[in-house]
Amino acid sequence: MNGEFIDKWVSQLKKGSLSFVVLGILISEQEYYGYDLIQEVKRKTAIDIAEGTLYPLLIRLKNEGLVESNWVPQATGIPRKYYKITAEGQSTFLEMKNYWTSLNQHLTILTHAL
Amino acid sequence: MHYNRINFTNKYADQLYQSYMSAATALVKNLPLEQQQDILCEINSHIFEALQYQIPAQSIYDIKPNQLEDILDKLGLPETFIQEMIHSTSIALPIKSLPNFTTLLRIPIIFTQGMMNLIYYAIYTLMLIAIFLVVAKFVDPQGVGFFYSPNKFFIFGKLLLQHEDPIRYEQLGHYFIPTFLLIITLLYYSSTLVLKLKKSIQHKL
Repeated sequence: MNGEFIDKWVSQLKKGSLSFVVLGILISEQEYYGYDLIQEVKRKTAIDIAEGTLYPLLIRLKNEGLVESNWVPQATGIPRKYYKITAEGQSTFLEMKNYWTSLNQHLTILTHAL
Repeated sequence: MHYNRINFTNKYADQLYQSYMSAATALVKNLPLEQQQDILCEINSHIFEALQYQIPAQSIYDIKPNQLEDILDKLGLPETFIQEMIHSTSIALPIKSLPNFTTLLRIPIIFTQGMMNLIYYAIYTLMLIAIFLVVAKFVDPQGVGFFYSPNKFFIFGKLLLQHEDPIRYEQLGHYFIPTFLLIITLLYYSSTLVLKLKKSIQHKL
């Protein structure tokens, strides 16, 4: 077994599916701030991501109009930036979900056939 | 919006936090101020929320250096994820409609280059006319020359009207062709000089 190859493949798979995971968490229409969202990703997917990688992704999702954010002042003096999914984000996620389901079915058939 | 600095009581924790935020500040310095502050506030918020998540609220400022180090390790090196944040932010920035300072500095050079082109084509045209007149002098020696009579006419070239006796007013005579050969040579060297100047300006662009 080529362990190095597997590590790279797993890393790419995690990175590639992270936008789907984030939109999947935000689809509940609950608002999350960055750190909270990272913890939710870890809780729901057991993906141990480097925490910093989530922020560039959130910027990209915002640029695409899939999420929006706003700063909310806190009593502690350190404001939180809350993210929520947009209507476009919701429809995009549903499309991604359809593809994911279809891909999953095909991969399941493939792996069962082996 | 400026990020509110977290003041740690532990000197080493404070130094660790300071150096992390200084590295982040240095990385975002080329972004517009609003984007700079947005990224710095996001990082600062992450650090604070991570502290709140792990440590009782009243103990946050008394954190030990190794606890903060653990949070910063999980967040990642500023050079890696902040660069990616900058890249993602830069894509969304509007394209400036006004020319930048470098472009403005180039305007006199572009104008000079345009003028050089005009001068070059003018010299080239004069050279072609001079060659034509030399040939014309051989074909029609009487009708081509430098005809000058005070208060009457000044013709340098070919006479089109034959109502006056041209020979009476011709000033150059046998010197016409050598004079024009000299003029052609001078024009040729002038055009070469203008081309060289034009090329040296192109290098500055």
